[in-house]
Amino acid sequence: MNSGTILHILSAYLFSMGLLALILRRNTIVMLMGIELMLNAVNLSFVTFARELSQLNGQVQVFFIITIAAAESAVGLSILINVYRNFGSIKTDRTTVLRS
Amino acid sequence: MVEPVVLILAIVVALLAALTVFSRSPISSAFSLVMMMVALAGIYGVSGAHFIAALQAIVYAGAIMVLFVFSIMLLNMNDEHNEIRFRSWKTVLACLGAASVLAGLSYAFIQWSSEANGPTPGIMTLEQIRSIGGNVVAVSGAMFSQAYVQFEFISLLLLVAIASALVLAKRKVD
Repeated sequence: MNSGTILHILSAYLFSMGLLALILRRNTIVMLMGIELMLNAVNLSFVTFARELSQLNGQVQVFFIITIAAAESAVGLSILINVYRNFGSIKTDRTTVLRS
Repeated sequence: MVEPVVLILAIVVALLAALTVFSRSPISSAFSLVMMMVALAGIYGVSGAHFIAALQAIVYAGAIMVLFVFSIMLLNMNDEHNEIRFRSWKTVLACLGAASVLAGLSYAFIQWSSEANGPTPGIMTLEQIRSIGGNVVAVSGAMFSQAYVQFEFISLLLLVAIASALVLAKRKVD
């Protein structure tokens, strides 16, 4: 077992932790943090594969993923502020206008 | 053999990720997420991806997490913590699902790295990158020769994101 394998297993663990945050938590900010965790897992996987395969395209893709994550969190947090303004809470079990 | 720095940083990242998911108040999960990003930047630095390490520390641990902490501060959630019910069967089912995802991905990765005739490695070994002039030079060369169209589209996406965040977050004037 070399350090590349450790980093691959760590990236799988980070992805499943992000999934768990997305499923378990009701707080929308923590759910967004779960999405960030999953994006970080993919970044780690890209960098580890790029090192193991002696290529650079993975690191270029990580640059794009980080940029898209910044845009995604900016738009997501502004949506959250709107949700808080309309419902008085950002928990997912309070935002139930479609359930009548 | 595992480099000890990588092992220590991996353990730190794993603990902080679990703390992010299971901690009670959103502000403590935000701060453990910040520390996790910094430790991940350390892992990228050890792996030789220096440009990505700097980007992770600046953009993720700097900009994105400041945005998170700021909106937590703005939203004042006093009664919104401790909502995971550990005894419920839904929680157990979610943990089983996440554990199966972890097991499947780890099996695939271990299978991949133990495969004898995998994909052939490229030419950019660490020595080659060092002879070009460092990681930043090599990555920017690859970015602006193969991925410049994506780079332009990313700048357009950032413009759209700025405009939409402004429109969404501004107070309605009526």
